[in-house]
Amino acid sequence: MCGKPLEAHELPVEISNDEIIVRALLTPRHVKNGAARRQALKPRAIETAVSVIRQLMGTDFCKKKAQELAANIGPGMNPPNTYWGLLTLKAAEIRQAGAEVTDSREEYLGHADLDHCLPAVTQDDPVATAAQQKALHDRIDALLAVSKTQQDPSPLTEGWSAEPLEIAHATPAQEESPGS
Amino acid sequence: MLQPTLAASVLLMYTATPPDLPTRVVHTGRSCVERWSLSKRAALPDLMSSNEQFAGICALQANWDGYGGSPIHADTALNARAALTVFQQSGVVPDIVPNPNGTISFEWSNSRGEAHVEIGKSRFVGLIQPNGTAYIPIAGETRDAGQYYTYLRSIAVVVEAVLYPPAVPSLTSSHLAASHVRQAA
Repeated sequence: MCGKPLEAHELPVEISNDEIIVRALLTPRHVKNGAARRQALKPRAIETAVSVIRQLMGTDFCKKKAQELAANIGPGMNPPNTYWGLLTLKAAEIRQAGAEVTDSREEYLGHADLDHCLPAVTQDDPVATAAQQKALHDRIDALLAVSKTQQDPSPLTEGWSAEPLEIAHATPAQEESPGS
Repeated sequence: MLQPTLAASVLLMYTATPPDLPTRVVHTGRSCVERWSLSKRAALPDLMSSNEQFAGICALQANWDGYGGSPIHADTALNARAALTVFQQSGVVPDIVPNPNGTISFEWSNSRGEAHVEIGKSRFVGLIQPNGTAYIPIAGETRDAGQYYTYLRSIAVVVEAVLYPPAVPSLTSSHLAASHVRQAA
């Protein structure tokens, strides 16, 4: 359906503006009423970036990685955090919002970092200043506004069976239409 | 910045609230004052749910989100518990969300605007954002318990004034209330 994942030499290190970037969503911490919460894109302490996946590797690959993330969460959580679906963004929109997305295949092939390019909080007392928090929330809100959130109808099975993740591009006819 | 002495300015903010926004009035046939005092109180299931939610968050372990999220520090849990108690007592029961950096956020949102407070080991930060007007930043420290409680109560008062303002009494309600008094006499 989504093809075989790319080999290292097939995946360019540079992420083009047209690429689709994927963030795995877990419920209940990342999602509320079908919409992604800000927490879904908040970095950890001392970090300025969050982990994302390059959709060029295939949607099935993205789902598999998301399931692995959920599987690595320890037991005993009430309620448990489980894989819910995928959030997608275009690289161009990430950059337009003032953030950056770069390949980080040292983690695994297909991994990338979505860097908010804003100051990180410290590990010791991980609360930002009011101005820093406002800047981060504004950045995340801008990203969420242009993102697409899709719940996986079959989160326990292999393979992505919902709508394609590809964000629709304007067709040449639409681009040429008057007033567009 | 939100200060403990803010209570005096809350009335100004309330009267500035656009009158065409929806209110929380439930038409029970009681007077407006009674209706408001009833609707303002958090329902018992809400309180139980938020307490369970809070306990679950405080028990989170490292990597609770699959992305290496930090567990909740004991001091953060203590500070957040104090905040939740104040908010519950004030009738503004928040949504409770853990953050990957090991803090706890309390969030409110409706058609009037949004508010959130993020609480850590020794500090808190957030904002109250009424729709269509400037936001009110919130920031402070938790070390002085008395001052911290004052801050929390001020936050609760402003959240209530901005997001859950009491209904404006109507002529119909005043008439009903007066009739009720005459019958009782």
